[in-house]
Amino acid sequence: MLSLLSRAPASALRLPRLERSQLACALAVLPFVVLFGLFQLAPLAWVAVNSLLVDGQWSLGHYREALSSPFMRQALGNSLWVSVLSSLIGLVIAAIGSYALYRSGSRLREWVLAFASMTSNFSGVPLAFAFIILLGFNGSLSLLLRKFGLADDFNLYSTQGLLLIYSYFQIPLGVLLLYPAFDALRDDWQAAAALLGASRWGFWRQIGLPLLWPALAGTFLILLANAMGAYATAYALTSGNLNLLTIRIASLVAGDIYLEPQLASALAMLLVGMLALTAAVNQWLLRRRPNALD
Amino acid sequence: MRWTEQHSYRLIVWSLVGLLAMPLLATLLYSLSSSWGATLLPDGLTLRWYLALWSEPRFLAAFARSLLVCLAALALTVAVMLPLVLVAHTRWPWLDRLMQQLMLLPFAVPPVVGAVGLLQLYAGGPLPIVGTPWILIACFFTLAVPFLYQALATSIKALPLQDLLDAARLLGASTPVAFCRVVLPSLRNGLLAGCFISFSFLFGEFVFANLLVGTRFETLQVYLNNMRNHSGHYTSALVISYFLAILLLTWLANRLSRSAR
Amino acid sequence: MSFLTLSHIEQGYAQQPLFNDFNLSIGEGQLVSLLGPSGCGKSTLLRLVAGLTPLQGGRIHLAGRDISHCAPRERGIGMVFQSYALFPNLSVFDNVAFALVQQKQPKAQIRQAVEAMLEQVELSELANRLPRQLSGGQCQRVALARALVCKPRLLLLDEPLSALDARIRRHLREQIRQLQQAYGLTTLFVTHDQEEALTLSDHIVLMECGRIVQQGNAAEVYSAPVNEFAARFIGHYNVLSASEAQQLSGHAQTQALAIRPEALLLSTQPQTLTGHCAPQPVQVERLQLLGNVLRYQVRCGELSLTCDRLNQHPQQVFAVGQQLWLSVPLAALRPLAA
Repeated sequence: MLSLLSRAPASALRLPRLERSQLACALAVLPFVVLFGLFQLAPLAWVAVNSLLVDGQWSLGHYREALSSPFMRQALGNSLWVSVLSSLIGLVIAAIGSYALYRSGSRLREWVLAFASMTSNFSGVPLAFAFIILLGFNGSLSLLLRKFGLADDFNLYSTQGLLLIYSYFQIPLGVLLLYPAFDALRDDWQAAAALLGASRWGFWRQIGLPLLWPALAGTFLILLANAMGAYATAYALTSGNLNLLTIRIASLVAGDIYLEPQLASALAMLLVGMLALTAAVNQWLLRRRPNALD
Repeated sequence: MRWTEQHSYRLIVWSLVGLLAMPLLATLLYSLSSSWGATLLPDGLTLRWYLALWSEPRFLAAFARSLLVCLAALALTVAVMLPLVLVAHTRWPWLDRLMQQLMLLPFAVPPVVGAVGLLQLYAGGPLPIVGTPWILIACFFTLAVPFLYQALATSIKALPLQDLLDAARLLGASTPVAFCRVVLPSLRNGLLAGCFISFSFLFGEFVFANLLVGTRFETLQVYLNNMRNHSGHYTSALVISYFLAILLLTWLANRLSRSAR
Repeated sequence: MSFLTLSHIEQGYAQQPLFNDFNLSIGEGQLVSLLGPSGCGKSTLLRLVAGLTPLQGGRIHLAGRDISHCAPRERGIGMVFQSYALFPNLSVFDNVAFALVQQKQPKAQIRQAVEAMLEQVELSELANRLPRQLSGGQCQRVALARALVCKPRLLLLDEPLSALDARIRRHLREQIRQLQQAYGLTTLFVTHDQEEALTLSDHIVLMECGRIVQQGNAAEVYSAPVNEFAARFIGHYNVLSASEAQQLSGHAQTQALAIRPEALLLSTQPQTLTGHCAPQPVQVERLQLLGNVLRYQVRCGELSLTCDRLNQHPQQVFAVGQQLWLSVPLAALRPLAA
């Protein structure tokens, strides 16, 4: 843009037609650049830079501190554990559900997909409250289960409970992400495989799963990132008493006792690193996805 | 034989629906019950909690604030993104590729991380807006951008843009007139669907609202969280009211995106 | 001697039966076309034979064996789908090899068989391509090769040419016929295109609403339609009610009649020919040039008739509005069943 302006001789009004339209384009894009820069890129840059500064010097000190503290390591471990497991559970249930959906009638299918997109918005604070009502100490389902002597030692306000809630909100998202891949599987492929001598399992092993696996893996990664970055649900469930990475980051910048924004930055960068990795793998998978399933 | 197979698929689908609906139904029942102690079913039904909720000034104020911030953020996003999308799909194709990459950024940078930097950058300095609705509007803008860009890019890619512009010009319209009269109306449904989706997402936003603003400008979600020690019936009525609003929005978004196709 | 026999087939829903006591038998080595409009049950019939749709009632025998309730893979049937149904994650080679891999044949043997098959359909250079990198005609040939490689006893073709453009369609039609004759393969060919059925088949089965309307070889089916449906579906027959037929021929008629458009004679002078009805005055309403044929729409009193003439001399084209004389050969009048 600068070079464009310096080449313009006197006034903008006399610019050649082409350059004038280039300028108009630049003006149209400018507000986005400013807002996105100020509120998306700048905070990220601040976090990236400050995670590496100790008393004004470049250093990996904060990272060392974060990774050597058993408390932080526990937060990291809890985050990973809950995210990976809830993503797997969500993925398996969503895959079974998507397959059943793909095999059921189109009226039911449309309705259920709409329902799933609705419940996928049901997360965070309201979801935590709904689970407290259902499965809290005096929740109706807890009472029912306890009456039959089941789930006596189940505690919603623990990582156990968190795993349950996370798995819950992964399911509708998983269905929405996976269903299109199932929908792209054509009945003719199964018929052709059957005629050519493949068993039902043979079809899935040789054709179905190879076609689905990029979608399965991609969905798993999105669910994983979704769970790792989640904060509201866990915060609302226990007012921040569960030790998760996102809860630690938030309490280091907005807690009541002591604030350590630079340590928070190091933790945040660890989180970003993991999420960026999943995003990159996901992009790579998307590129490898066979065209037939686009 | 095929019949029973079909039945088992339907059974799976319905159990999935049941599983997903269970917390909602329990909350609904709880919000409608007069009291529900250590028994399986509530003692009686009442609309008391809804009446209490909808006549509570603090709730109404929080609701209005949420509405205001979300609408302002959406208006800002639409105003900023429309010209950008048009430029990216007519003049600067490289911009579309860049945007596709940039749209991955919110995926890798969750709000908690953004909040760390935002708190430091805008608590003081030349732009001290932490604790005001302005920072929420700006942050909601960054949250809504991917939704709106995708929605707009998808509907603009479905248009034979060059043919439309050529046809409009042959019929005597200038390029700006062609954009306003032909392209923008064709984008309307995609735009609205994108707006409804982002609205229901923004309406449920908690992280930025809680960390950057908190009680200084209490939004619905923050209010809900602050009501944690209130009666469970009351918060249930709040959750259900919130969910009904979301339901309406997603239903509208679904209808619109279907007719946009 | 019948090779494939379908007897007393019952299929469909209680309120809406598609097949009711349907019977068909096919001789060995024949190419049989199932011809009919969409929804007439021809594709369902194919899926029943393949075992892709479970049979509700009746029996299917193939080469003397009852296959009514065999799994598809135990039937020894090859099929080409309308969509080709090539496996998108497998190369051309692997698609063709699929059936042999299922049979766990030795690798070297598979390679040999697949390469030979690909050579036959002229696809050897494309063995390592994925289906999405092929044109429609190439996909079609891969599908054919895949169906033929394990030497099926019966080949089913479900509108295999409908997605292709006209030139490729003609070429592939000949290729299918050659392969079928080279292997002596009994083949069931589903199509809604009468020209395809007429040029390709040993035997044509014309179907409507789950019933066989007429069957026979191409010449029989074309020249002697049994009813109005057959007459309209197979050619561009002029179909006349009994009273219309009486008006045109001048003879008393009790049945509806069909007349092929190319049997009608148009001339500028009234000609009295033996074996023909008395000449009738007609006026040209419309003219269509179909290349080698000129198709006239002429009006004869209340009647509108289609007449085809060979496009021999450009000077001899009648103009729209021109008054002509029409002669109808009596032998060309086909009485139709009600």
